[in-house]
Amino acid sequence: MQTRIKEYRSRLSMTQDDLAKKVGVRRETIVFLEQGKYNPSLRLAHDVAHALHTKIDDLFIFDDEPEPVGMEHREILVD
Amino acid sequence: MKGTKQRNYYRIIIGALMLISGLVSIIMTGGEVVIGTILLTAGLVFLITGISRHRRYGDDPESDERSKKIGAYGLSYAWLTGLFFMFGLFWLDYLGVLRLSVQNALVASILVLALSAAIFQAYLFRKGDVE
Repeated sequence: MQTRIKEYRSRLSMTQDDLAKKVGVRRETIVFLEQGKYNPSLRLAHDVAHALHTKIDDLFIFDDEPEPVGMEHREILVD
Repeated sequence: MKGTKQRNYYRIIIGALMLISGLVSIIMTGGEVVIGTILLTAGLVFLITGISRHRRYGDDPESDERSKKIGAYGLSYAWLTGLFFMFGLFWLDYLGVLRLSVQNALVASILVLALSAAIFQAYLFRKGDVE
């Protein structure tokens, strides 16, 4: 799993400590989240996304996610 | 966050009160020091715990979902380790390879349980998650 937490955090000029205090966890938890070494609960993932003003899907990227379907293929599937 | 800070203050206050009570008890009762010693020891534990946790965590939460998860997994692995250890002790005794007194067997089991819990939790904390 990869995360874009650091990227979104930097955009808002937020430190790891700021984000940790905002979502109510220890700073170490944010460190391991950013490194993709910790799988958060749905609640925590939601709280982090909310604190960074984005969605869960934008923050967490799983390695086994399928590639997005192109528009032409999408039309065939719908038919 | 506020709750964490308050909890440490309560620990320090209770520890100080127990310390004072223990000292007063020892002085007032003269020869009888058991209760006073217990109060003194418990008071010291509370005081040291409160001060060290306040210095270490300050206003930060002492525990969160990650530390609770790792704590629980560490204890589970330690329980399993202790079970295998006691199983091994039983067979060593049954086969006559090693004979321990009840006291020594209990001390060894307690040490294995406590140390393995600390080691598993330290390892999982460094790793970041239980998976």
